Amino acid sequence: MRIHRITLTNYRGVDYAKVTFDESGVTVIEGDNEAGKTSLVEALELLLDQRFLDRSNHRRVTAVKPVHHDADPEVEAEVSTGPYRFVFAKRWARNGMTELHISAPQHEQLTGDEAHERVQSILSETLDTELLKALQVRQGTDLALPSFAETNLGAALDTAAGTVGGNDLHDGIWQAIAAERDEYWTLTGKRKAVLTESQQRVNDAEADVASLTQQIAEIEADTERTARLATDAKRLQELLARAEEARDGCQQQVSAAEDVEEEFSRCEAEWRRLETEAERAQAEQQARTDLVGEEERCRLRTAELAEQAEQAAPALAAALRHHKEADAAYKAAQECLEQTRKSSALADRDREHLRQIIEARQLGARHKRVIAAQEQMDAANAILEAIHLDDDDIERIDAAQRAVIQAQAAANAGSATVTATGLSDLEVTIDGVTVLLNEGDEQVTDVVDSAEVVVPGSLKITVTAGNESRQLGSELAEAEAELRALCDQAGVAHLAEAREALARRHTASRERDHARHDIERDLDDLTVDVLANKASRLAARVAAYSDERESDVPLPSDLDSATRAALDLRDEFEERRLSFESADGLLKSAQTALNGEQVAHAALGATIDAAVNAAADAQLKLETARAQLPDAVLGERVTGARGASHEARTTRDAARARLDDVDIASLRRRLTNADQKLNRARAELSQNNENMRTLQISLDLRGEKGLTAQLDAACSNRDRCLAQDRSLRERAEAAKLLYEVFEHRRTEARQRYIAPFKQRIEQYGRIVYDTSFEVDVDDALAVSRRTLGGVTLAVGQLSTGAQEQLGIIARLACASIVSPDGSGAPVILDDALGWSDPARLERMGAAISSAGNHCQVIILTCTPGRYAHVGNATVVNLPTSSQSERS
Amino acid sequence: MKFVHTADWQLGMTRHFLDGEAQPRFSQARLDAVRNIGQLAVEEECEFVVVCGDVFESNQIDRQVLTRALDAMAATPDVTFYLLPGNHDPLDAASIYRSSTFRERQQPNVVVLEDSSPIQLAEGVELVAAPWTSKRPLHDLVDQACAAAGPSTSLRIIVGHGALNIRSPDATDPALISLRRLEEHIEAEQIHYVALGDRHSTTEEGTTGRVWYSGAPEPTDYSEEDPGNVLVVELEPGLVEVTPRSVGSWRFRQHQSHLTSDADIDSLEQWLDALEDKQLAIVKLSLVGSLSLGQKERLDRLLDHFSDLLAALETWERRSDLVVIPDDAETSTLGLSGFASEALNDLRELAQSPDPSEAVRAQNATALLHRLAKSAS
Repeated sequence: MRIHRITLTNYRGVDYAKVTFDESGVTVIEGDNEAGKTSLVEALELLLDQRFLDRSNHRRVTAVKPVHHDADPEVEAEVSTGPYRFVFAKRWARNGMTELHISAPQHEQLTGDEAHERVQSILSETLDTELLKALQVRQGTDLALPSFAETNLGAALDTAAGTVGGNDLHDGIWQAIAAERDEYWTLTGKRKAVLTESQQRVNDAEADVASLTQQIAEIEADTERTARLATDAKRLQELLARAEEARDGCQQQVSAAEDVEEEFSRCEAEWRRLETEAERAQAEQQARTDLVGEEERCRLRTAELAEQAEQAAPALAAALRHHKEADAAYKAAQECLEQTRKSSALADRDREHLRQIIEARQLGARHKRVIAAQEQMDAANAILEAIHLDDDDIERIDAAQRAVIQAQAAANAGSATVTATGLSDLEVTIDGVTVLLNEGDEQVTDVVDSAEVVVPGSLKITVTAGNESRQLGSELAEAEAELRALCDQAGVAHLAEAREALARRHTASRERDHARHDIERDLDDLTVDVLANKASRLAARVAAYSDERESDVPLPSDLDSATRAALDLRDEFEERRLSFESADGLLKSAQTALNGEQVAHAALGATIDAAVNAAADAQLKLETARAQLPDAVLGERVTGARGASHEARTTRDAARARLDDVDIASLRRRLTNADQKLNRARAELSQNNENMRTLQISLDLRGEKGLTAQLDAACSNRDRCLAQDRSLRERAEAAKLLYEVFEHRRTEARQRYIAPFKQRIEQYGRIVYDTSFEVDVDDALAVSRRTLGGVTLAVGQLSTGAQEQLGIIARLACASIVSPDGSGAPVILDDALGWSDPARLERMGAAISSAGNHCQVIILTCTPGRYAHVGNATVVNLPTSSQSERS
Repeated sequence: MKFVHTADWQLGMTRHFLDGEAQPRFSQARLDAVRNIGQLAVEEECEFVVVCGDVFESNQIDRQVLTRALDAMAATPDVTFYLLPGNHDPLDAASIYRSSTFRERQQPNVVVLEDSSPIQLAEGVELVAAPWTSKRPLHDLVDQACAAAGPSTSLRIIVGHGALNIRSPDATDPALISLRRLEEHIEAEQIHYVALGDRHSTTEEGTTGRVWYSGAPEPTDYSEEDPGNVLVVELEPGLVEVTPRSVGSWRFRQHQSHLTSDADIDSLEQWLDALEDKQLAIVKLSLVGSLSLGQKERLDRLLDHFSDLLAALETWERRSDLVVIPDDAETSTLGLSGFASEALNDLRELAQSPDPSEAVRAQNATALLHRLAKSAS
């Protein structure tokens, strides 16, 4: 496909743009960002995409509507593809527009969906859409190198390799061969489960055969063993018969010897019986001798003990006496100590009594003082309650007093004065106050405001002061009223009384403090009631003491003498106590000595009693024995028994000599051995029979299993498994061989097929790099490795710039191979080569220029200088301002 | 006096090449043969039947087989069956003749020949047996029995089992039966007929006319020359007359076919088609030659067809050598070109390899390619 012209109207930010491309060769479209370069490519895609009818609401279509005014986007392109050349226009709107004008191979004009369908049919007939995609390097897309496996590069290469036709069939066979191989073998050539399981079935079947064969072999072995056991049974029976005969012979010899042995035993027993009798007689004789000796010993012992008792009597009497004396001394000391203890206790009580008297007095005095102080405090509190004056009150009254005096003085100075002078004795009322004026008396009255002088019954004179005097009189009245009010508030008549009341209040306060101090001192931590109780209890105790005291000794006169008397008695008591302890020690030692003597005396008495009893017993026994058997008869019996025993011993010795001659022990050992041989033979025969029986049972049981039939079945199964396995292996080997042979030839062909593509890449690559440039192209027609300067690197290991360059070179190579027959597609580079340095850019320009001779190359760039080195390029400027036409 | 001489019933035998359907028929046929023998004895007015060893395939056979065998003999209660333990069923500790099943099911007309004591069969006729008591006897049991029996005035029948020394490839085997000694005893008129078992083909031995192998009543293998018979023996002083009577129904057949053309395949088809009683025939083919893929396919279809008809159809691998190579027409129909065509040529070359396994592998790969190409097209 070649693009001749594209016109955009109302497309995204472009109002109108028309770009005409070089038919073959390189077109560089320059423009700033947002000028609509990328829109050109997108618009062509949209126009040719079968999904987007002119009334499409697809989001890709709505996305290209201009945002700044309401208009419908429209795209028109003139395109050649295969034998066709046409102008195709589409406006996307509710009532969209599609128009097609085909100019070659023959004229045709269509509109609407018909036009759309026709274009799709032409494209599907002539355009390799995969190739169109693969030949684009888009702005901002990743740098992965393209694979051309799915494009018609393959067909072009087939043509170049001379393997035209039959590819589909070959692909089908090849896939079938690979699938057949994959049934049996893994990718690394190992056997798959289908083969290993078959082998396992063979192994299992062989194991079954082996197991059954083994069981049958065991039966045969056991059968032979049973036959051997039968032979052994005969031999053992003969052995048994011979052993029985030998044993019978031995038994007879032993029986004869046992008779001799019995005779000896009898003689031996007789001799032992007589010997026992002789020993018994001798023992009886010895017992008699012992009785005589015992009787003698007892008599001597009794006499000896009586003598000892006599010698011990004085010591006992002395000990008794000594104990009695010590006991008397002890009791006297005890009495004396008790007397002194009682006297001392009385003295202590007296002393305490006297001390309590003093304390009772003190407590009573304290109580009285407290009562008095409380009364004093109450009185003081009453005064303090009644008088509320303080120094400030006095100060204020004092000031009011001075103000009255000052007002008085002023009033006096400014007021009239009425002087009444008695001309005779008479009563005169002046300002309501009746005054008795004697003759010659003068009564002066200041007139502050007005004053009335009345002579009752005769005259009333009213004197009225002037204004100033009235003012002064008014001020005086105010001052006096103030003083009065203060005095009334303080509860006093005048200043002097106030001063006197304050002095009383101070006195009462001091007295109250003194009284409180006295109470606190006398009460200490007690209350008044407790103090009163204590005092009364102590007084009662003191009063009762004289009644309680039971002694003739007079009570000491005072506490000091009582204390002295008590201390003296305590010293005396201590002395008496020491005397008592001494007497107690003496008594105890006397008691111990006495006890020792008494125990010794009692023991000796008991020993003497026992000795007397023993002597009586011994004498009685001896007499009883002699009465039963006199000493002389006893002697004769001993002599007789000794003689009989000696005779029996001689007879026994002769019998032993005969027994020794027959050697019965050896005979018995031989009999035992014969018995053992016999038993062994019986046991062996029995064991042999038992083994035979066990084996026979086991054989019978196994015989019932029908093992031959099982073995036959197992063999058949084994043979079947083997045959199946052999057939399977043959199939697997055939599949493997077929795959290997095909794979080998296919790789060779692939190498031949890839060669032109590889050569073309290397041709352009050597323009960009140097003559050492080589590439490896894989089966998917993708560049897999690059070699430069003898260094080979996988594509992924190359720098970003080198990867981009290699990607463009591969596209140029592909397009230049595919395009000449008209089935190709333009190489579109959208702002590519941003990673390349200037020197490399220059060489890339040369490579693009070279490829431009064989295919259409469209370069979109916002960097005008970047493609300055593409010699044969036609440059189209796409300015930012739209609505202009360019070509 | 007449009696039936038979041997090698080998009841309980199974054949691996028989499938699940044929094996029961094969087993049943062998039991039917026992009934037929009893019936034959009745028809021929024989006094008794001697079975000269290997009555059973093994002492370890399925007890059901034993029960059915005793039942088959019980069908003719007037005919006494004298059973001789042979090398397959010796009278040892594991012997089937001493099993509880045998003892419980044994009818009066069944006698096991347990030792060599002469048995009086009729006035002036006695039987001396040489039973096997182990699988590996250390001497000529038959000669031993003859010697032990000593001279006789009666007609004496010897019943034995084993290979005659004149037939055995292993001359050192101490158990071989000496034909010369037998003939000496016959010459001395100590014995008058030797009934032998072990050889499955009916065979007269020596020159006296009195030493016979009856053969097996039903065949058991391809190598047997004349199986399927019993002998009706008429024995009188100075006279012996032995008549083989066929009682077997099954056949074992081997056939070699040289195949290089469609005509050869036609011949093989005709041969197979001509077999009678196909359901009772067991056939083993050795196929040699060279066929195209198409011919091989036809052959395979043919063999599949007769496999269904016959009791068994085996290919004798050891004696088969069939090369399968596609012809030019077959190759061209694949329509291969380019590398695929090159690969096919490689395979054709490998198919001619002197290494047979390599060649077979390549042939198989070629056949596989044809199959895959057909299904891919």
